[in-house]
Amino acid sequence: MIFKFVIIAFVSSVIASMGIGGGSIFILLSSLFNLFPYKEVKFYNLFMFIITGFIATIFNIKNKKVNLKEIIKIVLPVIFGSMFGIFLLKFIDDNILRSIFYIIIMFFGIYEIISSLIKIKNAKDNKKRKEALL
Amino acid sequence: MIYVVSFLVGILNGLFASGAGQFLVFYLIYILKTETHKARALSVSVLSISSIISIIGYKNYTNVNYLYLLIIFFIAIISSYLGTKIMKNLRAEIINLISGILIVSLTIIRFFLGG
Repeated sequence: MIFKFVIIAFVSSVIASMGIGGGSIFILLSSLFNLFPYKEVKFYNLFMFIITGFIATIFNIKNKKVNLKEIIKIVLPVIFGSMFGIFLLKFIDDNILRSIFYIIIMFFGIYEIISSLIKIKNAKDNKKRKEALL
Repeated sequence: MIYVVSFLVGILNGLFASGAGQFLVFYLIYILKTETHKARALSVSVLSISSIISIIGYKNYTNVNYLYLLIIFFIAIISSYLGTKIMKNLRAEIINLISGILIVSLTIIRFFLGG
C-alpha cells in the first residue's frame, strides 16, 4: 500500500506543481485504489497541495514567473470566497451545482485542447513556410 | 473584474474542493491573455494558500497517519522542484493541451464514479 501511495503522491504532486490539476488526480487515484476513506484522502490532498504550492511558489518567484504582489492581489478574494463557499455548503444542495460546474470545467478542457491543437498546427505551418522560403 | 473572478474561484473552491484552479487559469490565460506559465504558477500559489483555510475545517479530524504526512512532505518538496523544472521547459500550448486532456478525462471519470 505504501508503494502505491508514494507513486500516486509523487505523480499528483508533480502535476499539481505545474498547475494542471494534481489535486483532482490524487483524490481520484486514491479513491480508485481504495487507499483511505474519502475524508482522509481529502485531508492528505490538501496537505500535499499546501506543501507543493509553497515550494513551487518559491521556485516560481526565483524564476520570475510570479511575484508576491500579484499573489496577494488574488489570494485575498479567493480566501474570502472559500470561507463564503464553505458557509454556503450548509444551506444548499451542492449536487446540482456540482454537475453544472463539471459541465463548465469540461467546456474549459475542450476549449484548451482545441486552441492548443490550433496553435501547434499554426506553429508547424509557419515552420514549413520558413523552410520553404529558405 | 479580477477581484470578482477570484472571489468566485474561492466560492467554487469552498464548495467543491478541487477544480476551482482551472476556472482561475482559464480566466487568466484566455480572457486576460496572461502568459500560460505565469497563469499556472499564480494559480498554484493562490490555491495552495487558500487550501490552508480549507484544512482548518479538519482541525478536529484525528484519523491521520503521521507517517503518510511525512512521506507527502518529502515527496512534495522533490516533486514540486521537478514539476516547476518540467513546466519551465515545456511550450505553453503543450502545457495547455496536457491540461485540457487531463480535465476532460477526469471530468468524464468523475461523472461515472460520482464525487
